[in-house]
Amino acid sequence: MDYTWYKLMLEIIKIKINKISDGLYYLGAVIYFTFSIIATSHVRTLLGSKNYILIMSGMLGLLLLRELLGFIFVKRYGIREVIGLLICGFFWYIAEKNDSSILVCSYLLVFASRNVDMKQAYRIILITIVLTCTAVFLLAENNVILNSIYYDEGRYRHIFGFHYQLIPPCHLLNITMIFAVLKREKISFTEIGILFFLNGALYRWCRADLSGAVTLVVLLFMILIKLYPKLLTIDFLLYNLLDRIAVVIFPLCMALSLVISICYSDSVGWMKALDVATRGRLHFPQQAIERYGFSMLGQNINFIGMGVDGASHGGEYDYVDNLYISLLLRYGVIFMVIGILLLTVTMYYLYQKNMRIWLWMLSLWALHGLLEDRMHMVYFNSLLLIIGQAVQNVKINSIHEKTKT
Amino acid sequence: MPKKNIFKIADIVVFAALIAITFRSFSDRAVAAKIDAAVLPEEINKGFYEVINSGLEVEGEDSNETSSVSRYTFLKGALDGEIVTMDDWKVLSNNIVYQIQTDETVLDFRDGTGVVVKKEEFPTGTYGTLRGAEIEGDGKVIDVSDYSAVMATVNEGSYSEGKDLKDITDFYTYLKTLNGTEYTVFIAVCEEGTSSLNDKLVELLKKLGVKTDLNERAEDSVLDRIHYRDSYYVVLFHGESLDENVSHDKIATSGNLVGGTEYEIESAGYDTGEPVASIKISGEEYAMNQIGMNFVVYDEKNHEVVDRVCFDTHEGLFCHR
Repeated sequence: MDYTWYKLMLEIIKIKINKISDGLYYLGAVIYFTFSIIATSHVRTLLGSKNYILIMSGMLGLLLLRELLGFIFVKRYGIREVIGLLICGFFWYIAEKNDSSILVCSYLLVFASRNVDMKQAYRIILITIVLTCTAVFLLAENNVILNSIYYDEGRYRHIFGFHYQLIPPCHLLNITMIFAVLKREKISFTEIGILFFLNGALYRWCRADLSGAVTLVVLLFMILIKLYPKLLTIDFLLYNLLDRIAVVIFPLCMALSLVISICYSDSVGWMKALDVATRGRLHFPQQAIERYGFSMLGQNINFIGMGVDGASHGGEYDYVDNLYISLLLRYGVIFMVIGILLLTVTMYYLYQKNMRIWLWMLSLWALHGLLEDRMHMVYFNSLLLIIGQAVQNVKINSIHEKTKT
Repeated sequence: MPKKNIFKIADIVVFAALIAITFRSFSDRAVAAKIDAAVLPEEINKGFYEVINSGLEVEGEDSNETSSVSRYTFLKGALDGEIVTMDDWKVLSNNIVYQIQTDETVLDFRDGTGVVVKKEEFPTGTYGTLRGAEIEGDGKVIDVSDYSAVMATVNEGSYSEGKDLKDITDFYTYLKTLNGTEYTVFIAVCEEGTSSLNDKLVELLKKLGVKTDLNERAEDSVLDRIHYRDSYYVVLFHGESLDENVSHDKIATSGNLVGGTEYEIESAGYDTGEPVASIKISGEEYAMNQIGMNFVVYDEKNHEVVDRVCFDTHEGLFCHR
């Protein structure tokens, strides 16, 4: 009996299912980014918490449906998928215990991105972020949602409808990074100019020193790549060294954060000066470690201050702006170990694939995390989606072996 | 020229233009203002916080046993819808709810009255006689987010038209009342008279006839006032400046008014080492000679001094009589 037609039909069905499941992923990503960005703005008040949770649950359902379709019709789970799901489950447990269970949407989205066309995904995500941010801005300017200017230390800072003044520049940084990895040397000077202008304007209106500076660094880097495209592929000693350092940058930043937090002392001149320059970002982590201590599975801590999520609490300011210490205290040692491991594996994968621009952009995020605590949110740092692909496809070879591209 | 090259050139030209505009917006306020006006349709009064704080910082958080308090100080005369506008009040309301990390906010009008707003009870606040951070007695409940209601409540019976100059202690109201009168106004600064000025007060002074912008900032630093600690005097009549001078040194002038009345004015700022404000009319000294702007208001028809007052335009806009 000839089963060729049967096999052909099966292949056609698999292709169609693949397309449908990709569509489900893109739809899930659009919903995730749209409503996550909305949650950082005063549009959330219009939407209501119940509706928000319903919508994000729907998004979760879409991704789970996608996984189910893939499992049944396309490819059975291998060991990496199983480990990935277990990690998602563990992260969900930690997030629900110590933060918010909505975070599972981020983890599942990263897991689901392991087998999609990331270029296409990032195109859709970029358009979604830009349109959503523009919509929030227009709603605020037309007084549909709250809009105001804050006066802070002699300067005026706009919120443009978001919860906090630092959020618009954060989204711009995310947009700029996506442009950098998506377009690389093919980006036009006009696009760089527009991003430059927007960064300058947002710096004048929102005064986000850190995000503004990092965006500027990315833009200068993009100009350099535009002028010298070989920068991305050249096999030069210095760049190879930088690439290798980039592979371990996350553990290095973690170690640096721990050392500074533990060893910080007011009586040491340069430490005190650095603490003042970074507005307490050295002594607050130390204070938090002394107050709360480390735990394996994390603890529910509400730091008091104005974080990027706009949460405002009364009382003595003790907010920890360092991503590594903040997550270590709140989510626990096991979470951090797994997280740092995943990030290092991702950087290793990027190194193997000679994806230099990704390496350097994620390195910037790693350094940014020393002074900002929300860089683990996928809607602020969309480059994290590459973790799924990296963990799924990384080959555990010698570090000297790189794919020739 | 091939189309591809034209696009490349256009790409670089647009890039250069955008970079140039961005840099210019930092160095040239006119360019920055144009960009702001084009993109931000509602321009919040940039002088808002200078009016609200009257040159003072928010007094910070005073902790007592049970709660912490933030205090805004400003004058009732600024609550007229023009000096502090609806948009400004929206910003203040937002601050009370979202920005301030204290349990209570006190709006101190510096005339013994104020509004106390508990964060959890916002937008409801209580207006009345202020004792520290509490309202004496029951007070009057008002909706703090409704600026019209706030204006109506705090200005009720306080500053009606035709009020005697001698009874006015609010600097905004004083200047508004002087405007349109037929008095001759003499102003002399003693020691320092600019730190508590804001753009709105300068506008009111300009309506009286003052030509010098005492709030003018240095080009390289918006925090530096050009006329800080300067000596200054002016003689105003019917919206015109008859005699006006500003200097780092001690300055003096004398002359005759239309009716023949003799006057002499002296002003010396802090940097002269001997600060003084002297306003003599027909040989008699009338200036309060206190720090800030010393006013002497003269009625030429009746040949009499109507009022003599000093407003501390260095700090707090306090009224001294």
